[in-house]
Amino acid sequence: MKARIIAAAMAATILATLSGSAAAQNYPKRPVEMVIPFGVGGASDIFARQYSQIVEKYLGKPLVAVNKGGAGTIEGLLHAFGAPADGYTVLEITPSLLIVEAQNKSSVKFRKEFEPIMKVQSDVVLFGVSAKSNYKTLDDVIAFAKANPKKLKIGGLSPGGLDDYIANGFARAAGIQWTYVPYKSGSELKAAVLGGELDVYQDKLISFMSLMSGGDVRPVVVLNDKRLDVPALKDVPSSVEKKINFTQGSWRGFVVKKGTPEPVKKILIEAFQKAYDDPAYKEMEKKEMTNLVPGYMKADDFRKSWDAEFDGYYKVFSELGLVKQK
Amino acid sequence: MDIIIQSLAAVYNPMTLLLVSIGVLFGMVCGALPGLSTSMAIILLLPFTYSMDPVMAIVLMVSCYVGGSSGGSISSILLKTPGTPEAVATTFDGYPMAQKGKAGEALGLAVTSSSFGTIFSAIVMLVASPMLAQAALSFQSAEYFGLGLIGLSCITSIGAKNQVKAVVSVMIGLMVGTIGIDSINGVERFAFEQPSLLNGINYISVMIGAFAVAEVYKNIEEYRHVDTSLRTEQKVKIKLLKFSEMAKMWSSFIRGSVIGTIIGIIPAAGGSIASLIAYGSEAQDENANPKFGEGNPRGIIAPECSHNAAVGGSMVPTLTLGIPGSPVAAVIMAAFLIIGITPGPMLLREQPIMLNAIFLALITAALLLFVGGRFVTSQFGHILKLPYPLLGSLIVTLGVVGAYSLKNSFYDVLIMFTFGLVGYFFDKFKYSNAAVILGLILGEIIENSLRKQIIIGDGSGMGFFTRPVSVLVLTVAALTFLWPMMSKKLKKGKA
Repeated sequence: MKARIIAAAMAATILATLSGSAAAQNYPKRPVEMVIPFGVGGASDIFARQYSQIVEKYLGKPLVAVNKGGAGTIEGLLHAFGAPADGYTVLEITPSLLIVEAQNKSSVKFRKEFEPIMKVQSDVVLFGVSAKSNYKTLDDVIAFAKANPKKLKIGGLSPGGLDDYIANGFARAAGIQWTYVPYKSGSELKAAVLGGELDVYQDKLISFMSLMSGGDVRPVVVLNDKRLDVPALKDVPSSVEKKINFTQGSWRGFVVKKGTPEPVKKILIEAFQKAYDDPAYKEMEKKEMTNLVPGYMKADDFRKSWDAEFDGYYKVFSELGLVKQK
Repeated sequence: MDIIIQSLAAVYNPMTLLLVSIGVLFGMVCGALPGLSTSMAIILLLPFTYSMDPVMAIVLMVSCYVGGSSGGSISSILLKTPGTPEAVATTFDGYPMAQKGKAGEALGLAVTSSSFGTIFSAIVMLVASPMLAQAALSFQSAEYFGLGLIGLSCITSIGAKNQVKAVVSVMIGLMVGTIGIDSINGVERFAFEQPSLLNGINYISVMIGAFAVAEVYKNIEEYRHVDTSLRTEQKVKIKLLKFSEMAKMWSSFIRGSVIGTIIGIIPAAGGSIASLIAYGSEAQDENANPKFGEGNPRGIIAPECSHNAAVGGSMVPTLTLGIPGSPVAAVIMAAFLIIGITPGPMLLREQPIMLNAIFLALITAALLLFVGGRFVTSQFGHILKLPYPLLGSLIVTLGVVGAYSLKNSFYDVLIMFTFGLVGYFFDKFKYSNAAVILGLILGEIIENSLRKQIIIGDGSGMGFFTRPVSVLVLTVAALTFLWPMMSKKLKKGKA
């Protein structure tokens, strides 16, 4: 009996290795699907599309972008989960996927079902106030918030998303309370800051810069461990320097479904790595200003970073009552 | 002067003119196909712009925006299937007009109004950009709430025949709109643990179902009882309206364009809301002949002018503040950033050519639309000569593709068919499908801005009455709600 089981196990292993290497030999035979769990036109969509074009050069087959933006990334997650683990489906990820898992919103547990390819970039977040605002520095903002809990309004996109986490996580670390107001689109949010409806503005660097360059917004803090190496921002303190230990930003990376044959995964990782080293990507990164804080991570480190971030999301969202109880 | 000559040289060279033509044509085709929105068209063009000169890239995208905004009405008029969200209002009078055999006129009218609206708003953009952009900032949550109410007041004109049923329909639309993750607290409402319901019911799939699919069901039912030979013999006239006839309706052109430009300038409110409001304001006249909803040409002119005027309007805050004026403008702005241009006040100072180039691109695209588009689109009218079984299948196929491609989700196709049935019975019992869509689109804006304003006011709703612009907008909303009833009372009083 025992021998039979061992034999069966051995046969299975051999078969798996064989099919694995066979898969690797022909891989990729056809175009690879790039699942973007966001709608068309956002920063993460455009990033994945641009990056796919560079990866194509090294993979030898086209990467076809497919937007599955439904249900706050859950539809994209389910779609990638439903596809076979053969390396023909790659999923783009951002903190949103970890947040969905932390809030227990999806039956598919992201960290358990997917394996990393690589983390490509980080996007740093800044807080600012309208140029017409009475607050000049972060200290002014914090002093007011301490004296008047919940009076200040900070905006963001989508309730229970990354912006919500950043607003509340920062407040928690700084020992203040303010009110988070979710907006439907970036344009409404920016208009609300300039029109005076919101007191505090948060945004990712590149779109923050576009409001700032016109002099409409005054930056007060960079959520990072040191100041940014940008002339216009050299006087803006970092959160860590202000003794507020909170540096969450956004980031973008890629994963495949667990069980993808190792050799196939290796080919994918290699192609994505070469794309990262390609001057075309360096150029793109420079234009979008995503090269200022280190984001790049190899698969192993990337996987490790998930757990730490997950704990942070779980803590803050439990306090906000946004973790779904089953 | 130098700048003007430079920008003329930048736009009027063979390569750029070719790009304008490609942009308009590609936009029109994508717009006409339900499910391929204008935003998607621009995203598809994006990779080709990487290697282009920035001015050329922008010219291409702006022309595509103009073409896309206009193309949506082709399928609205011919198939009762709005190709883009902007073209919903065009179905109200465009489709009945085409059914009366005036498809060519309706299409010609739509294209002419679109190009008029584009040119109107381009001029406003060039002349008054910085000033208007500042004014747009007075539009905050309280004012969005009022704007949503004005839009909702359209039901008094859409549902003129049976107000009670129209109100019931709008309520149903508002209720369907609450399904999904609520936008303020992130709470799931009526989602029943279904991930597919989390994002709510997409109004585009509802729209394709309730308009296009329901219409096909209705025709299938009638098909056996109708003498089919009539249909093929019934001549589909591909005739364009004369300019003198159009000139008589100048007031509708102006009204539509003004409304569209204003709503375009308001951040995040784009052509879809603009065209509904323009239609609502136009259809107040109940003595019109033919009646609104039965093929009145003014019912095409106003929304068509309006959504294309929103194109130029939405470029105003995009260029001067760096805040996109519509969802499509947001995509164009993302493209700006990729090309390496940062929109905002600095852009106008550092690259004055840009504004002029966009202006010229808008005008050129509009003229091209007017000259070429008028004849090209009117030829689409021949599609109505197809035998109905073929045409009906074509409509349903386009509908399925359109609904699926929204989010690449089969679930939207199910919604489409569900609302196809609902829409069929609504038609039969004289409830208003248009009012359902109206409730669905506007309910979200109204609820969201109402609740945001209350959060901002620390729990008090006084903000609605202390902000001057808000009071103005709310007054207009109240008047448009009550006007049809008041005018009836007044008339009775006189008689």
